[in-house]
Amino acid sequence: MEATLRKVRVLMGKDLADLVKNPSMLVCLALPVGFSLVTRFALANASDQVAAAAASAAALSRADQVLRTFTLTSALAMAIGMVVGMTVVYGIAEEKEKHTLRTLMLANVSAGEIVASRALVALGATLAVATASFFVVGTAGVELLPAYLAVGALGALPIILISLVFGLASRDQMTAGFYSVPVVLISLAPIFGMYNEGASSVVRWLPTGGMNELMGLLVEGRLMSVDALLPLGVTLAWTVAGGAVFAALFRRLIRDN
Amino acid sequence: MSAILSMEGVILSFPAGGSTPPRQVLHNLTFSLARGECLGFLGPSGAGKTTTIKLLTRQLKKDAGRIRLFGRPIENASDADYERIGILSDTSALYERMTIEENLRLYARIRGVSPQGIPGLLERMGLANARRTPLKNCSKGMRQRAALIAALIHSPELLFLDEPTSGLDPAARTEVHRMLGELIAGGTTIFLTTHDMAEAEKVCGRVAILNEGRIAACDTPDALKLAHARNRVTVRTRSRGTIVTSKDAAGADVVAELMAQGEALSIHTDEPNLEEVFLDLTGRTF
Repeated sequence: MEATLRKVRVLMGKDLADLVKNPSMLVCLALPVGFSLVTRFALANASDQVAAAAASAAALSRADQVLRTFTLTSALAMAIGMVVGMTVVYGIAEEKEKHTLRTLMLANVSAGEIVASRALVALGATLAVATASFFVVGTAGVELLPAYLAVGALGALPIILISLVFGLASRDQMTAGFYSVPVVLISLAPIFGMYNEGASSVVRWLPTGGMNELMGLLVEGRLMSVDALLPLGVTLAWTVAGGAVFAALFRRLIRDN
Repeated sequence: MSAILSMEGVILSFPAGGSTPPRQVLHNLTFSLARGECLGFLGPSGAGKTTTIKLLTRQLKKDAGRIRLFGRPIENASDADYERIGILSDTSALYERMTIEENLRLYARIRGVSPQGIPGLLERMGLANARRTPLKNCSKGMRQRAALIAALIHSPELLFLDEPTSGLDPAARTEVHRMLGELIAGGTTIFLTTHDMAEAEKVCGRVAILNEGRIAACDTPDALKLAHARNRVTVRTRSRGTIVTSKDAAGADVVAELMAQGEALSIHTDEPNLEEVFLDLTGRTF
């Protein structure tokens, strides 16, 4: 156990350093923050327009909640999609393509230790980027940050597991480019779901759909209500399903070319 | 000496795809490796050298036969056993965006050993001046030497080396041979695959000649050459050209006469090199 913890810690240091040294990965980290900046400017006057158009205080409050939910969910979805989708899928594919994965395994590093490191670094990086986006978008007070990050971590879990499967299934970085598209699209689904009711009714059942619903409840101050159970269940169901697929496939997939 | 590693009647087949029957790549492979010994697996590409290393290092599973590692069946080998092993595979690769030294420190930490020995190893492998060079800027030879250091950074008892000098220039190759000699002298057991006959002869105490998944012969290089020596002696003479005679009493008389006449300029026994031994054994050239 001590050796496992040591190896995971060493690998996390390596994966983190790789994230910072790799220009492509840095772009993936910066993109969600940039998106949040664009959102902030794009919606700069929206609050004023909504206030002018609102027929009542209740309508104004509701509109404000929708705006905050949209910006915060978008920030999280972008962070999860870009950071997890790209770093995990591409990261593992690159290790397979360049045979560093096999070299690690020949140094008595287990497949589990390798993916644990990747998953933890991806989660940490996602939360760091989500935090930066939270402040950049600036539509919520800092008191919401811990709950916002908790919802984000929950939403990131199924995407991390799905990304690990796609990463292990990728033979090389070119394949990873193909496989990462659905991961990113699924992660970003809540953004599209907010445009109309029809899309929303589908999105709520997707891996990040529960996160979207939970964010809405958080903004409304009802995160600890019974309404949170269904989105929480959806997220956990996807996490369990992702974990099961990952567990079933990873021994077969964790080989390089 | 006790066997640190052994294979007995090992068979392995690869699926051929479709309805084609599996292709057998290793046929009844049997050998053992004593502690402190260096065994060379010699053979052309496709002979089964890398496949054998993969079987011995958990990358493949045998179809039949027995493999013992550190005295116990390989199926029961623990992670602790594999901590006593170092492996340089044909595709061993380090991280390109990291420097040579960063890569080696990473492997030292993974193995749980102090990185204090790294400067000495870099010096011995001629990489001291390049230690801060990112791997992506290194030549193939530098990468190979760095990968070799990573494989032996934890001072393994048993070292698997798959074509360790592939891509190295003659100077670097000599340095690797010297280093392997030091490791063997220090008690490290080495299983080495190569298609470089001179390397096998220089480094290995014993060589197994592998041909199409079968061990054609396994012995010391000298014994192999002796066993396949041709029964002839070649004498270059002053005025009668080159005379080839047999290595028996009649031949001895011929040589003695030529020497007595002052005709003999040089006398050569016709000892084959390992390549010729391979040809003798298999009917194939490398």
